[in-house]
Amino acid sequence: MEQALILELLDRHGKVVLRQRFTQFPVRVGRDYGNDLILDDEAVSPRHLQIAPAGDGQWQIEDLQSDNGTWRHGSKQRIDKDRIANDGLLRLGSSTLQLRSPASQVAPTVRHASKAYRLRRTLGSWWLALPLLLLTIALSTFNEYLNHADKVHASDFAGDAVTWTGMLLLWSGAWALLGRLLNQRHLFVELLSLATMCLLAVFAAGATVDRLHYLGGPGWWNTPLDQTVWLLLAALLPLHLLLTTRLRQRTLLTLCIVLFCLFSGQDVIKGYVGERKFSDELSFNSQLNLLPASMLPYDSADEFLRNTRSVREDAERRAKQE
Amino acid sequence: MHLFRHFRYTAALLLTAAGLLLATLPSTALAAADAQQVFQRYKDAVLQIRIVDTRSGNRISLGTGFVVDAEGRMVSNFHVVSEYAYHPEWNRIEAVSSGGAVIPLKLLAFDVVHDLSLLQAGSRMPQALTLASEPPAKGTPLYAFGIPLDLELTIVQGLYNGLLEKKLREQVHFTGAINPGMSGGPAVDENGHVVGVNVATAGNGVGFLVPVKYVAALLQQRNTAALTQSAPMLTLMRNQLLAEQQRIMADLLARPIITGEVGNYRTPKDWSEHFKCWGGDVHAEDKLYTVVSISCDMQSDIFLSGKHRTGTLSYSRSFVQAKPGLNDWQFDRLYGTLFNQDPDMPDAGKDDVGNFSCRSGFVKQADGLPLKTLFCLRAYRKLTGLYDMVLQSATLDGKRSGLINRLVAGGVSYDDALRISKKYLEALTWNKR
Repeated sequence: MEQALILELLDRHGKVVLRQRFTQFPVRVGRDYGNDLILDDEAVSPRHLQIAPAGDGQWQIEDLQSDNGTWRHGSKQRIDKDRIANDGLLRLGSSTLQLRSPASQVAPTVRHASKAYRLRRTLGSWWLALPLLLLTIALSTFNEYLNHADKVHASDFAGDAVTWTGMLLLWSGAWALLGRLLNQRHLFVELLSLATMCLLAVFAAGATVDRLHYLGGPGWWNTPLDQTVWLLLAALLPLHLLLTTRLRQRTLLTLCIVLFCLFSGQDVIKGYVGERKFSDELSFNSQLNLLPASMLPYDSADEFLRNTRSVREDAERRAKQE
Repeated sequence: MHLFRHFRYTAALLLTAAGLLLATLPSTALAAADAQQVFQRYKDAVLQIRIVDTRSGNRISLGTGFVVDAEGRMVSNFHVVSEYAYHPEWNRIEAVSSGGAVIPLKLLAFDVVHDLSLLQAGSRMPQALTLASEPPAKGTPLYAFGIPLDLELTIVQGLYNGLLEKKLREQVHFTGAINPGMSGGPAVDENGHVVGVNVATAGNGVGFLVPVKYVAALLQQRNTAALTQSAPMLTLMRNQLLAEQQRIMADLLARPIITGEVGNYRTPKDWSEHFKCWGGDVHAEDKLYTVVSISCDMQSDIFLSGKHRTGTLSYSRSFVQAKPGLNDWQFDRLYGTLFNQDPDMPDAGKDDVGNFSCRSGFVKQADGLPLKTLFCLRAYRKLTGLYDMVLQSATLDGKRSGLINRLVAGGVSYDDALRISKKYLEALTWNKR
């Protein structure tokens, strides 16, 4: 069998930006025009390294006394003359090369029947996106309507509906543009479905958390409950980035954690400031009738008043603060 | 915003209110002659009292005071000298005679509840006023002395209109123009006997005096040591306030609450004659609901400092009903919004009290009426053991109507806050037919 080396040039996110096949050895890599693979990388020497087959599915690497050296990916070990396994990674200058052979494995074919493929197909269908968009707009407008207790006309909410529609289309459009620039993907419909679903999820989470607060009253569980909403919000941005950019999953996860910390941190700061800023106001859960009266945990008036010792202690503590 | 704010009647204190010098009084030649005589005879017993910040030399409080005995003891309002009670380390009390002589004063005692202070001049005073032993008949002419708005010593002729017994803390109703700066001045009859001490005005010639019997009680305290430290003064204030709130609470706890019928409920209506109630309804054509509200207030507060009042008690109820066209969810939101409206709180600044701490919960009454309840407290910073309290409840049995009740007490002990809350909550029941 003819021996072949396939060199892949990877970008910062590990995606292939250039792929070239070689059957003549050694393969020379460098910046000048005498090389087999010419790299436009200022930190790569004109004649940087050469690669030849070493048998056992390995490759023999020889650094041609380059200025910045050749390195094993992810290590501080400089390669002078060494072997590297097939599918191994090399770092030279600010580029990353992956060494492939015809024996290298590829990911299994995504089948049309597979869940992931069908999910993408469904997400990308106008038949899903459009009803979702309409549902989101209807719900948010209805929510606005519920805040009114005076005589209103449907036309009073047309403006809200238009604003919501515009915002959602603009949001998805902006992300779609990003996806096209960075990932060469056409994702507008997918992003529209995603955005509406995210909004619906936030609505649902908000409504559930509201009801749990209503049911649970004061207690330690209020903080984690609020945090779940923040977590959901923090996941939204990385989810969009996953579709539209080539960022690695680890980066996205980190971003998610950072966002979550920012959101909760802001919550903590707000709480701290609220605690220290003088105010005449009563802060409490004032919602009523969120759940049927038969579901609620009742105390007798005596028990309720007996349980206010913590209120007294808390009030004392607040009065002692500077 | 609050539903009842504009119905609230405020007896502005002399220091803060700008009154009108519009007294419609008989001005016969005889009366004028009397006023001249009274003024000439007793003017030397009345002095301006002022608090001076020793750090800057600025006057921070002005009022009037009068001499009550030959040893140089003087009486004024507590609110005239209150700044000294909080910060004796950088304030001093002085009297200024009409001739301009400055006399340093010491604080001997005070009655924070009735707004009186007892001061001691370092030297003997030329003239003293005697206290009236009997209250005069209604309609008796009185002469109020004072230095209004930092002008000259002034005499104001007016009429004695009796003791206001329905007021939680008794006051004399004086028909005459009392103005800022006259606080602490004496109101005397034609014989120069002190009937009351100028304390407040409601404007338009409606003035209030502290009845002289509280001055007499203060003079009974024969302690000669002056109050010079903040801590003992605060303790004294606290004890007087606690005793006063216990007196009021004991009275209210002993009385039955008369309930009235509202929708499906019976709810507190009348409690004692000290409360005055006002209605405030929402019945607008463009609203899809109605609110029928009644708010009851004791209309009496105790001055603690420029921003801080205590000793108030009020309760209110709002019955909310949906009109046809309002759906159930809209009603629930509206009901929650109304429940969230804060009641009128006793005035207090950030140096006086901490923030409120609240607990909400669900209560089932003895007869099965389900309620959402809220209990909030804020503690006084300087007067330990005193709290402002808010109790709120909303009925949960109705789909399209509901009743919100509120009870607000200023300056109560924790135990009394619980007792009064319990009594108030218990008076809220289903209306049994």
